Amino acid sequence: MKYLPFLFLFSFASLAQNVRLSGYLYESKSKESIVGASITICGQKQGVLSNAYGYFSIEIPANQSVCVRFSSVAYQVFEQTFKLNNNQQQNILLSPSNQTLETLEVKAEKLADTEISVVKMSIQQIKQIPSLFGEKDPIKAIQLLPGVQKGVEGSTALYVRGGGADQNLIILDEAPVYNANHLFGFFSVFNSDAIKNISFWKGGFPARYGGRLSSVIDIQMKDGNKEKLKGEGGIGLLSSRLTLEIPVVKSKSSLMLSGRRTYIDLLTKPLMPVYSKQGYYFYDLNLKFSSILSPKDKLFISGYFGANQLENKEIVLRDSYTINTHDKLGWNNATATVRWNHLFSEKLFLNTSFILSDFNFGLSTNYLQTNKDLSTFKNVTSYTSAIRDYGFKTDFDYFPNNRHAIKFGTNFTLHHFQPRVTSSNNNGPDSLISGNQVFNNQEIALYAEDTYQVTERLSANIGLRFSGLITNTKNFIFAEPRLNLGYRVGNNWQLKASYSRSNQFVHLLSNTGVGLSTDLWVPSTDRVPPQQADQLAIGVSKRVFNNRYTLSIESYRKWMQNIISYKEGATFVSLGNNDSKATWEDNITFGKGLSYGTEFLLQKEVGKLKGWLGYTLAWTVHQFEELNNGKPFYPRFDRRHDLSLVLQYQLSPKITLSANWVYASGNALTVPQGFYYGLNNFGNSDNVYLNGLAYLGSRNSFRADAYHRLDLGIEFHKQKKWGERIWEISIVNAYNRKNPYYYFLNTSNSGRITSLGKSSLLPILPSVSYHFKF
Amino acid sequence: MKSFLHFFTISVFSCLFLTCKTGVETDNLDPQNLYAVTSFISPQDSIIKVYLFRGRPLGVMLRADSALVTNAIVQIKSIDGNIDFSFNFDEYRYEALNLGKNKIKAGQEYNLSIKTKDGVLINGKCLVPAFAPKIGKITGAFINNDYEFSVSMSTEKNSQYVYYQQDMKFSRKLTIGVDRPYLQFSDRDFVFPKEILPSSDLVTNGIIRNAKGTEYCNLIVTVSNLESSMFRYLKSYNNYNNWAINTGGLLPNFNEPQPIYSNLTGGIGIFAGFNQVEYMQKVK
Repeated sequence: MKYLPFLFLFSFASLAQNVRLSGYLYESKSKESIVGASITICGQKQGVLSNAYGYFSIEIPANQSVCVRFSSVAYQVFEQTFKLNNNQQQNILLSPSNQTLETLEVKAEKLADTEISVVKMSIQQIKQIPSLFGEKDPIKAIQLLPGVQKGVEGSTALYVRGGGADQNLIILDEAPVYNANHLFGFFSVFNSDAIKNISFWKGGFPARYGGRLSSVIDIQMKDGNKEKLKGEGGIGLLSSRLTLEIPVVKSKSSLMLSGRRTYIDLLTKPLMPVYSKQGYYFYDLNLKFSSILSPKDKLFISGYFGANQLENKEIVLRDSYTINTHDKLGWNNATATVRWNHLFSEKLFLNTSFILSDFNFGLSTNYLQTNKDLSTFKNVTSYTSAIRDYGFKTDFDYFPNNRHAIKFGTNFTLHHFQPRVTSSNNNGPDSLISGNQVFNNQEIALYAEDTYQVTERLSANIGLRFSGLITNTKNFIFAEPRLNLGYRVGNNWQLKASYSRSNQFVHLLSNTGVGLSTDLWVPSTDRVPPQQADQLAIGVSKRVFNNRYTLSIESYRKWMQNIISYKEGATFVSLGNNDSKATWEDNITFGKGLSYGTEFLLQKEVGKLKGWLGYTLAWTVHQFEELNNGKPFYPRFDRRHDLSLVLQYQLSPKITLSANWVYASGNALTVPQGFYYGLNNFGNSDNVYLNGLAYLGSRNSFRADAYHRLDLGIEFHKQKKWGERIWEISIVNAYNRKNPYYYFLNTSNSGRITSLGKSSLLPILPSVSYHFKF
Repeated sequence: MKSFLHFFTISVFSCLFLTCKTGVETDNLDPQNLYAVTSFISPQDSIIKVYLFRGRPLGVMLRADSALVTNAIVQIKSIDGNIDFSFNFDEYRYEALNLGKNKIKAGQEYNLSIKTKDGVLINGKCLVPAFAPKIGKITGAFINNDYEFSVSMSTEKNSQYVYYQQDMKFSRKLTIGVDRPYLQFSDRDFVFPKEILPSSDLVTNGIIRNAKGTEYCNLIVTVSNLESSMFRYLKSYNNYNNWAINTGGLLPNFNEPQPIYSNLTGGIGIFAGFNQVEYMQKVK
């Protein structure tokens, strides 16, 4: 410890003898920036990484011929010799790897020695995983990683290391996305054609990330090809999609447009009778404009717009009246980001972002009765929930020397919540509106972190984040220390450890726990304190079997405070006891949680057969004073064992086979285990009503059946004059496993016999889809 | 070998991270051996009642007569002595008269003890509230055919849980063209007025519809001070009914599960005390 100041001095003193090579790393063809690439002096183990915009800055000895090595996942290694006597800015182009197979790998914990609990996935790999109706989904791919539990069949909800579905920070080009699902959770809102990179952190969060307890999913949209028009798309059984990358000014600016829409409603509506029509659709639209304004300035404008709509129209004709009903259920997401990159010097990089994120959910019923005498009765009821964020963010990257990479910045977000508004009116404009609470909270964060190469073997990421929240009635401020350590043992071993504290100022209230859009996003208030978590993780990784495999083992322990839940008996629509003055705050309760476990990940990264085997052994325990009589219980998505096997095999240059198999222990549920008689009459009344009551036992003491599923896929690639076409055949749930989606009570004998039934959702589902690229 | 030792050491270290007890104890009872008890006692009741039923597992027919447990030894103990119960086959319950040495006293603690033939011991404890609430006044007036009234009541400061009930008795002789009278709450459902009373006074309003059309009509108001466990039981019972109605049989669903509160050991159910006052107001 006493040598630490000398190390600093030494590292800064070395500046005088060095010059600086800086610039952006781009893909050679599309000019897409390359994030997280490694830049080292040849033969040395120290180096720097390109930042989130592809910028790098490395010190090299002055007036000497120095070989600099540039490498990144999915790209050919590039080495160039420089002999500089002054600082120089030079952009570097990397070519995609010729060995396509080499790109199809999860690169966990390889890009920086201190990074722990992070997985960076290439979009190409996500596209090779067999999928439902050919809809490639990044979130579904993340669900296959150890430490990540999915909710129920089909759901895109993520439960990371025992955290809740709300504890994942999902950011799309810096904008948070609140309910990232379509089709009631079957698909996420992320169209894989529009995405460039995904970084998934389940622990060891650097200080630049905050606001959620359990994970960060940082998704970057493609910038768009700046050299020539490119496109890709697909036609599936459920939806079609098209992405265009358009150079606006060659080598300077580009536009990326990507759209996707389902068409089940369009196909089925004409076939439905006029008195009963139902329909569902969703669509996505991604767009991004990026421009190089000058060697020092870049501008990015990106947006996402998506909507879901379920409709039911019915007409009932009777002799004396006609009834028209029109029910709608819908939810929309929109994000918009304007970003400006500026280089103050070779050492100092700035990104400034203006961010908008909007989510709203609506449920409405229109009822119109027209009587024979033309008099009418009309009732309109609606239920809405909304959240909108306005954000401003500045992030600096400072590269004092090759040992230090410092990031610091600030973040301000105005959260506008309307958690729950119901209205109802009969025959007129007068509405009965209840629960119309509006919350305007301001979230502020300041952070600084330093990735410090202490020695050749030891590296550290040390950070501190201050998170604060200003509400109308109460303010909060927290210090969040972050520490990641990496130590290299020999050539193949990596030991890692991390500690992070996080606070969360938004909460999700969920009855079903499956991440449906009916879940309410609610803010921290004077009555609802922020959630807080401390996470400790240790890990080891090693290359084994002639370096063809990488084995990683990580153990974690996470303590959570002030996690929230609905009270017993509560629901998102009605707040109970017929008391219209009750708010959502009256219906929730607070508790603490503990999760711990160990994750194993064995990856095969080279050869024709690639993939990974992941296994997690984990426990999660919650304890709430007002639930389960105050005793600890397993939350719904506590799963003891979780295993995933993901394989891809290149049969020939034209044919790729893929398969994945998952196994997970059953969810913990509260289910009647029997019935008994009870009553609530007292006093001298003669009226005694014996009631058959369900015996529920302890909270979540019933274990659902285990979940397992095999998905298979085969892709046929063919090069055409105009580009490439791919036919894909996939089979989801290949052995037709009846996985539990929900349980139900089945009554017979006039309700006197009740038994427990199980309902499954996905049978064996083959599908064909067609993809193209040009 | 060195690598293996490294790996072994680290694996052991990783597994050590797992070795801790969760503290989760599932206290589920086998429904076949589940005994359910309901007993509310008060100084005002003429009969002390204890209902005892055996649970039934899923898939087995639920019938009250087949779930009866008729041969258990049921006792309530207090500092005044033991109250022994006998089974009343007509009423499906164990009974003892609430008089003499058996008289339930306000402010006294009682212990319920049940021993079944198969050796299961069920125990519960209650404290009868020391005071009954006071009904201040009932004021009301006819508006057209309806009688609108207001009830004010007060409770002791220490009584946090109040249960309000209203009922009516009326003549079957009705004026031609007027419907049967019925009680309607004008302000809100007043089953659970306040969990924690902000003050000692409470007011509630109600309406007897069509009261004018009957030959006579009496309003009966009953107000009880409840022991906290009885309040929790009744509240959870009420919520349970909402849950059971709204689930559509689906698990999970859009309602959080609502178990019914129990304060017994060896079985489930409730043994609790209350202290009530009843007032009758002549409406017509």
